[in-house]
Amino acid sequence: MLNRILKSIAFFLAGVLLSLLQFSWVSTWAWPLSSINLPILALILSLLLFKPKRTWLLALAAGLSLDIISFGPFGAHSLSLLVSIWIASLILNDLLTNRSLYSFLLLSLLTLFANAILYQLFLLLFDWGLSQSSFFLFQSSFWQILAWRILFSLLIVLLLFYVLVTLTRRLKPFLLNKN
Amino acid sequence: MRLFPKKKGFWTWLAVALLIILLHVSGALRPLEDYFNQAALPLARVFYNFPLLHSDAGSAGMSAKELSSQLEKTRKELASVTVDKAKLIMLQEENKKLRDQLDFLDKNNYHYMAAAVVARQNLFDNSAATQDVVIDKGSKDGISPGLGVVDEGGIIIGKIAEVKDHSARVCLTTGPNCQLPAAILNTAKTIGLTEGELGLTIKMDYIPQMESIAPGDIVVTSGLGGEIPRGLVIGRVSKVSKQSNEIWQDVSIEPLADRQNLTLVSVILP
Repeated sequence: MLNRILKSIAFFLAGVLLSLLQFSWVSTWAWPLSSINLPILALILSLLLFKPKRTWLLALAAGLSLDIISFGPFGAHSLSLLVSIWIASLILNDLLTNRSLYSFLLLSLLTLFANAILYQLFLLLFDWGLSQSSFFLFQSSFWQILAWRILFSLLIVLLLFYVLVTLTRRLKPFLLNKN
Repeated sequence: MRLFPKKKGFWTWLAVALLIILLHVSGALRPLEDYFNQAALPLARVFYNFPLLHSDAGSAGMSAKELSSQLEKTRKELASVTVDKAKLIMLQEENKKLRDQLDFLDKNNYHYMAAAVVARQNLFDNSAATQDVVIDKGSKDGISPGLGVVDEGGIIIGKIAEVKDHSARVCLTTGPNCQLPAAILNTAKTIGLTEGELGLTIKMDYIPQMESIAPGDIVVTSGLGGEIPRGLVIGRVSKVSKQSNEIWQDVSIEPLADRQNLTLVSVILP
């Protein structure tokens, strides 16, 4: 019981740390590197490696922390992360047949796409379209930022995958063993 | 594919999130948010000052460290000289007028509050054009929206756009939503509103054609209609756009503040 509580606290704190890193560190990176969405990448990883319950907790912790420290409408980050991870778990359980590199890349691509759309939708919902000159889907800057985000995120996912394959047996290696 | 998962997991967490949002709206979570901010902001400041992958670290053309530091030094000297020049011009204008009073106030006796920059906004929408910064001082420190923010050289970098208890968002002068009442130090003393453009420069539109403006003219805050005192340097005119068949002319202003290396700023208090 105590072990479970400690693990939950650790996951909660990991979510808070993730959000702080995104808020203060990633935001200082040169454009377009700063478009990377660290929480989503970590959540996808968590979905693949840990139990779903832990991933929900991580998503809620990261989202709430971002909502508290950032200046957007409260709840936009929490809800967009939670719903994005729900979509990711649907894709992982019902669409993808194994935990290979292709699965990881496709999962990341779809989740990042979903999160970007959801976040903007929640912004619109909470702010009622405040200060938007046009709907976000018709803004070229939205697509430009999303493209860079997906590109760099997939590169990070690629690197992470190779590191994780050596550390855990839960993932299917990309290259077949000769034995 | 099952659209709505049978497991209670997602719905439970969603319900928790919605409950927390409701508590936030009602204000019940405010003390917790306060403690969280107080704990998180110092850590955010540490992360902000990590040197890795900073936007200035890989600047093109800076091939030698010495050249880079020399350029930085020269930039600071230029900014300082421009501030001094602006003060001199304004002092000369004041001295021309006849004064009845023998004791007059030092016009630059500002009250400052130092603040550390802890992050760059906007999250997940952070193209260069929309970058603001977040500082670690808020309403509980006496900060309110509309106050001017200057760098260590006294050059205005932006104004307070939004305030929380322990932090505030500063819109930079080069941001599209940051307007400052400004005056150009030319013969006509042109006044207007500056607005950021693409996160790189500042523009001032709708200036009557008859007013003579030249590249190099200094632009300062006019002190009109806001909390920002007059005389703070914004930048210098870099380009004047004039069409003979137009009523107005536009100017582009080169900001003098270094927006990439902001770590410590000062908020000018009323």
